[in-house]
Order: sequence, then C-alpha cells, then structure tokens
Amino acid sequence: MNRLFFVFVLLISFSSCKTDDKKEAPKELIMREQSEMAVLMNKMFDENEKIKREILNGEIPQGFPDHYLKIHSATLTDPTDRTPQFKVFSDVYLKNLKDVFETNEESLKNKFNATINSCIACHQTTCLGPIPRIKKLLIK
Amino acid sequence: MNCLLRRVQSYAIKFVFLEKWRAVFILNNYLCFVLKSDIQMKKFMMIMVLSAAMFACKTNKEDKKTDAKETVASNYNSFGDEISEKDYMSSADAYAKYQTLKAGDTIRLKFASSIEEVCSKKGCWMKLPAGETNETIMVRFKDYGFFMPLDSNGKEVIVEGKAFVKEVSVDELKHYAEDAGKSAEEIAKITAPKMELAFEANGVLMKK
Repeated sequence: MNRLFFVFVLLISFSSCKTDDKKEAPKELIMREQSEMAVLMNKMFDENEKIKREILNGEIPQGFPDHYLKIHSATLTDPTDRTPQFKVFSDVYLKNLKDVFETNEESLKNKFNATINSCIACHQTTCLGPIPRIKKLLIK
Repeated sequence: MNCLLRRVQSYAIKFVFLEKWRAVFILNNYLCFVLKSDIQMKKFMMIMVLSAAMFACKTNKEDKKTDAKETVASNYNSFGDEISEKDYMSSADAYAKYQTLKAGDTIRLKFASSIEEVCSKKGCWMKLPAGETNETIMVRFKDYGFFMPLDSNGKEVIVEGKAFVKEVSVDELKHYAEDAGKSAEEIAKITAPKMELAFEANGVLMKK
C-alpha cells in the first residue's frame, strides 16, 4: 500500500511539474553585420577618446597607430562609398593624426581637433549618422 | 517490484532535481537503503520524497513567475537601453507635443507608433508616423550606439528619448532618401530643406 502511494506521489509530481517545456523558437531578426570599416571606425572612436583624455590630463599621446592604415582597404558597409574623395579624406585624416603624435604640447589640442574635424568633414559626404557622436570627441 | 520501484524512484528524483546530481545520488542511495528497512522508515522516506516533489514544484512556480515577467518583456525585442513597456503616450499625443517646440527646444518623450520605414543599409534610423497626420517622426539612435533590424518595417514600437525639431538640408534629405533605397528620380525631386520632427532614442522596444 505504501509503495502504491509512493508511486502515486511520484506520478503526481511528474505530471504537475512537467509543464511549459515547449517554447516557440524566437524568430531571428535581420541585423546588419558590422562591416570591417565599421569595426575599424568604432575602434578609432575608442582610441581617439583615449587620446582626448590624455591631452586633457596634460599627457602627450605616444605612438601613431599603424592599424589605422587599414582605412585604405577595409570593406565599407556600402562599397560604393569608396570613392576618390574618400581616399582624399582618409589621407587628410591620417596626416592630421600623425601631426598629433609629432607636435608640441601647446598645439596638441588644435591638432587633435583638426583630426576630428577631418572625420566630420568626410562623414558629411558619406555617412551622416555618427556625426553627433564624433563631435563629442572635439576638445572645447 | 522492489527493483522497478527503485528505478522509478531514481528517475523521478533525477527529474525533480535535474542538475543537482550529487544530491540525487546521495538521496537515492539513502532511499534504497530505507526501502529495505521497517515501516516507520518507509513512511519517513515517503515524506522526504513528497517534500522533494513539492519543493521542486515550488521552484518551478518561481521559474514560471520569472517566465511571466519575461513574457511581458519578451513580447518585445529591446534595443539600446532597456526601457519599460509602461507609461507611454500615443504618437498623436507626441505629435501634439512637437507642435509646442521651436528650433533649439528639447523634451523627453516616450511614445508608441509603428515603423513606416527603416534605413535599408544599416537600420541606423527609422521613420514613425505622427498620429493620423501625413508627417513622420525621424528617429535616430543615441550615440549611433544601436541599430534596428532591417526587416522591421510595419512593426509596433515604443521609443524613449529626446524630441526636438530641426531643419534638414537638401543634401541630408537626399542622403536619407538614398539610405531608404529611393530611386534616382525620387532623390532628384528633393530640392528644398525641410523642418523635421526629430527624435534621439536611447531605448526602443519592438513588438515581436
């Protein structure tokens, strides 16, 4: 009798606990994967934010980041945006950034802002969205 | 019978405890030992199993509560900051608020609408109808920090963020038309700047 009761209890526990196991598989959303250029630009943003902090703290940024040269080869979200104009803007940006690492302390702020302004100028011709974010890099 | 009972008992306890394998083996061995014991001990064993079963069911109920909470939240996909699905106004009310704004003003709003158009390149902006009017509210995302799915046209959304009005240049209008996949003819028709109902969202909920 006890055993029957025991089995009964187990059956009850099986039936009462085994609910809601089936869940609908969530529908996948179609998200745009980040292009190589988007990844590079996000990295540039983070690193320029670091340079800005260094300048504000009175430190002198060291070492031009060579991986920025990938700007000439990274795949863009819209490959048709890689125009001769884009090449010119890229060169101006890299030159301005190089200046940041070679200038004296007094000119650091101006050189850095010139770099950021070259980003903004380029984005005004290709991809407007990030401009408000990039503007936050400017040193006032 | 004893053997069968022990197997049933073993599977039942494994089921009840799932990952708590160590506890399962200890308890199982103990119960097997008890089965061979006197009636008093069998009763004790039954009380233990019953308690375990009740405990397991109670845990499940707690899980269900979490599920229910998730069900409310999981009716939506969340983008950017997590926002609640409560205390929002209609897009018509939001439109009325926009009518009080002049260039340079900013107010915080939370409203519901449905996506009329989303950036087809990246999902980096979306247009929401402003109530029953022909106007749309142009939503961009804070710090370019998150994007919407490319297939989200027509989906219901709740957005929270900053509302403002601004004049958009012809170049910018053409750029957004291009993003939206408009034809060259349609883009050429854009010749005048436009006052835009702009919105910078820090969080979006999109109904599944």
